[in-house]
This record gives sequence, C-alpha cells and structure tokens, in this order.
Amino acid sequence: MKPVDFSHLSLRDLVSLDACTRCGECIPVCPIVGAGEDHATAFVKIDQLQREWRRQDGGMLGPLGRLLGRGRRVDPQDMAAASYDCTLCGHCAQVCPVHIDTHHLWLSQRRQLAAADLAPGNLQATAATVARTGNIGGRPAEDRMAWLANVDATGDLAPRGADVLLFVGCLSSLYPQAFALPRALLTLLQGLGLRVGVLGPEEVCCGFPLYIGGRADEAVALARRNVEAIRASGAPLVVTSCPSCYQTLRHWYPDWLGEPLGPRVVHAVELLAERADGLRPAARPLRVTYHDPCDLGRRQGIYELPRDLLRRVPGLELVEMAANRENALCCGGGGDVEMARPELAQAMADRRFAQALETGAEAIVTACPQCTRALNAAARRARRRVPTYDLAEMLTAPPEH
Amino acid sequence: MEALIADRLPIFWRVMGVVGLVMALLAYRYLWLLGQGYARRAGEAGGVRGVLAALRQRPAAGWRRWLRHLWRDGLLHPRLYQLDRLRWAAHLAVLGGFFGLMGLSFLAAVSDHFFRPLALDPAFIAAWRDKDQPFLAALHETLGLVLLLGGLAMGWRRLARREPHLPNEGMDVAVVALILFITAQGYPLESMRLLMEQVPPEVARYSYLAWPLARLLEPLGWNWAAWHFWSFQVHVVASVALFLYWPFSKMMHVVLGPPVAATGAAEVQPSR
Repeated sequence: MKPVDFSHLSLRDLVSLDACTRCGECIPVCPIVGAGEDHATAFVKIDQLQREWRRQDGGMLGPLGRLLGRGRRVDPQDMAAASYDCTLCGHCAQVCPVHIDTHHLWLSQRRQLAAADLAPGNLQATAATVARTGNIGGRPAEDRMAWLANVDATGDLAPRGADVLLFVGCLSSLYPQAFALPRALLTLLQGLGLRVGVLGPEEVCCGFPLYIGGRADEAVALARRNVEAIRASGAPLVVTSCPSCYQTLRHWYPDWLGEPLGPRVVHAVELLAERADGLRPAARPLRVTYHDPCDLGRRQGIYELPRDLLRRVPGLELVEMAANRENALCCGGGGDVEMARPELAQAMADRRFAQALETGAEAIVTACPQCTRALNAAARRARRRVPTYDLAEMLTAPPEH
Repeated sequence: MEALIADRLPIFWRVMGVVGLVMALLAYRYLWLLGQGYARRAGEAGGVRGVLAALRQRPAAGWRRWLRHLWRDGLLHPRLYQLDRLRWAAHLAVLGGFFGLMGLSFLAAVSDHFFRPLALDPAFIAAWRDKDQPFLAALHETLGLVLLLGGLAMGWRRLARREPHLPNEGMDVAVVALILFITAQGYPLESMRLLMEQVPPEVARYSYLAWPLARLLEPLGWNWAAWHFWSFQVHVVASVALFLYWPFSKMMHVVLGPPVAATGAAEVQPSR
C-alpha cells in the first residue's frame, strides 16, 4: 500500500495541527458522535494527522516524538475511514477555541488520501462517472433539461442575453424528486421580471463532489467547462439554489483558476432577499421550522436572510429547532458520506429530523436540495408526514401537504 | 558543597543556556518542517526560507484586523468564554500566571543588560534581581497563586467534574501536572531561601505564602542551605523537562494558537 503523502498540507495546515489544544470541544458537536460513532471527530483526525506527519516527516522531531509517545503509526485505512466519514459540516470549526480552519484541513487530508488511492471505492467510481459524463448521475447531457418537462410556458431560457443565469446543479437537474425546486425558483425569478437563462446541456457538475473527495484536478477540469459556458452567456449574474454549487462557483472557482469568474454569483436566498419587496407569497397557515444547510450557514454566514423571507409568508409560523443557526445539526448529506457510508448519513439525517419533530412543525424548510432530499428520506423512514421543502417552493405555490 | 551552593544561580543559567540551545535547534528543525509544507504548496524555497516567505505575506484580512483578532481571539478568547466560563478563567489564570512568572524570571536574569542602556536608576535595575523587594516578592507570590488556582480549576474539570469530551490522556495530564508541580514547589523553595538567608520578618512577610510556610518549617532546624540547594536542583530539572517536552506536547498551542486563532477569526463571514 502506498504511504500517505503529506505534500498537500500547507504551512497553515501544519501549524494548525500543533495549534490544537486537544480540549475536545469538537467531540460532542460532531454529527458522527450523534450517530453513535466516534472515529471521525476533529479530535481524532488532527491527532492522526499530527502523529503521522511527525512520524513520516518529523526528522529529528520524529524519533523524539516517538520516544515521547506521539509517534505511534496510524493505519492509513483508519485515517481514510475517519476522513471520508466526515460530512465536512464545519461544526468543529465553529466551536474550536483556536479557530482552526478544519474544513481546509480535511480537504487537504482528502487530497493526500485520494492521491494514495485510499478514497472509498464508491467515491472513486462516482468521480470516474462525473469525469466521463459531467454529472453525478452518469446521465446524458441532454437530461439536464428534464426538470422542465411538463412545465407550461417557461419562456425563453437561452443563456445569451439573460439577466440572470440559473445554475441548476446536478441534483435539481437530474433527480425527479428535486425538480420542484428549480421550477419554483424559475417561477419566482420570472415573477420578479428577470429574464432567466439556463445552460442546459452545457452545464456540468460544478466539481464540488470531486473536490471535497480529494480529486482537485478533475474538479478544476469541470470548472473550466462551466466557466467557459458562463462567460459565453454574457449574463451579469449567476444564481444557484445549491449551497455547494454556490460555494464552489463563488469562492473556489476564482481560487482554482487564479482569476475572477466574471459575473457575480449569488445563492437564491440572497437574490430573493435583495428583491423581497417584489415577492408576493401566497398565504399558508403552516407551522414550519428552518434547517440551516451547513454550506450556507456555517460556511457563508447566511442565517437570517432565509428566516426573514419565511416571515414574509402570511400565516406561516416559524419555530426554531433546539440546535439552530451556527449550532445547527448536520443532516448527513454533506462530505460525500452518502457515497461511502449511506447508513451513517441516514443516522445523522434521522437525528436532525427527530429534532425537527420536537418543535411540532408540520413541515421543514431549508435552502439546499441535498438537505431536502436527506430530510425527506428521514421522514419516509420514520413514517411521518412532515415533508421538507426548499425555501423557493415555500415562496411560490402552496405545497401539497 | 558551599561553593556549589554559592554557584547555584550560575549553574542554573548554564543549564538553561544549554536547554535554550537545544530548544533553538528544535525550533529551527520545526520551522524547517513547516517550511517544507509551505514550499510544497507554493513551489517556493523550502526550509526556514519558505517560512519566512510565508510570513512576509500579508494576512488576507489586513494587518490591522489581524492584530485586533490576535488580541481578541488569540488572547482573550471570547469563544472559550461562551463555551465554558470556568475553563476560560482557568485558561487565563494559567496563561497569565505562567507568563508573568516567566517574565519576572527573565527580567531578573537580564535586568543589567536590558535596563542599563536606558540609563535608568541603578537602584531600579538592581531591584529586579532583589528577591526581597516588597513589590516583586508579593507579585511573585500572587502570580504563582493565580497559576495554581487556574491549575486547580483545570484539575477539577479533569478529575472531579470529568467532562466526557475532555481527553485525559497521559500526555495531556503530564504537562499540566508538571507546570503545577514547578509552581507549587516554588513556595517551599522560597521558604527555604528565606530561612537560609535569614531574611528579617518585616521584609520576608511580603512573600505572604512562603513566609508563613517558612515559620512552620523553621522549628525543624534542618540545614536550609543544603535543602534549598537540592530543592532548587529539582526545580531546575522539572523546568528543563517542561521546556524540552513542550514541542511534543499540547502546549505548542501556547505559541501557535494565537496566530492561528487570529487568522481563522479574521476570515469568519459576517452573519446575515
């Protein structure tokens, strides 16, 4: 087996390993612990990285470190399991007294593991599928427009000349249970008087699942295809309803490409909040709770905008879960965990769903197609009629309840 | 033996000089390793040159904001305060007590070289070396007490309250225990010095914990010079052990935590 290569750890990553106070505050908040396991907490992962780095690269510090009990060998498979069972929810960073950027650290770690062929088999297969077809489902590019089937009067959706380019994302484009989201968002944006364009078959996966899986080079290749199509459209604004696509397009593309993307990238929540005065949501007497997606909340700091939008819906009662905003529990849908350990992702979703039930809410609202999917699956497992809707759906026609 | 006792401070500083040299070598090696991490990522020069190149970069948030976060999040730790006030207080007590005592020891050692170029009053310069100077004697005692109280709070959390998430591995406990031992041992050591040098009560009383202890010990009538000498050696050995163990222990966070905290906190997206 190849040794784990630490060449992907930056200076900041390495310093962060030794800046850890080993206080354990990251342990109780880790969704893995909530799901009954403890092998993938930030505490464990930092300890593994620190020990293995010192053992492999420690030089003079290595033998001394081993002598002082810090150089026990880490099984690379254990390290891979800990790394890929993490949802990258960022809750550990939220409570870390030293503000360690754990998200960056975990991504660096995954790059090393992927380079050493230690990524889970399912993830490698998905990466190969995305590289081949440009989407996570392995579907033909033409299927990107499937969400528009049976939709009346969508108008001109050509990307060129559009006021706003809707980057639909793989999940909302290709999986029928998520089609309601882009349809609702399209209705809302057009209702605001915007000329909306979509890339259709030109759109490929944003690269997020590959990048967080440790396959940075393949992610960058996808990014180049998207950037070319986005720039060719000439649209001044790109909107997406997926927090992962949003993070990738807005923050990672400029970093990967070494230059600004060009058009401004916003999440649907931001755009709708900016134009909230133009929204006329229908009344609905419903008690709902809002689930903060990790990539939109802890990663981007967007907590109040979606709540403010929900408060505009007449008759809607918004109640909070015990863990909300910065402290929100992860739904288990992140970090590619679903590909590696589906039962673990489900346990996390079940826990979050149970917390939503405690509020007495009749429905859950979120702003992420993956969270919507994970929580709806949890409702089905629990045999409870408490559906999860995307915010865009809640602001358009009343959902069937 | 008398000569050895008389030479105890020069011996101490020679030992600390050797320790300092070893620490400097370890620090160099450590920087070199960190430089490897930077060099690999940035494709630039490795080793210490790589680290220096990294340090020359401006923080993304700008120096002013970074320094503000260094003070706020690297030293005052409001996040720690929100998580657990007892832990925050213990942390601040141990940090303040430890660095306060370190600072006083350092000034005692270098006051001649440090203050003389400033053309200050010779009595002021000498006072830093004078263990019986009332203010400094009381300050030593107070800083030690603060550190010990912080340590007791830590011990209470680890051993009595037993917070389930708090790891109590050997290396975590050993380094805290070593700091507390060195601090606690400082009190009988000072008592023995007061007895050995027969410091008059009106001067000794400013060592408000060591002096009562000295009065308790006095009836034993031991050879206080010898006792003080050997206690001092124990103090030196424990201090050396602490400094040498430092790079391999969780205490590295004392050095690296503040800049990492400042960098991380400066990057936090404003909530909206």
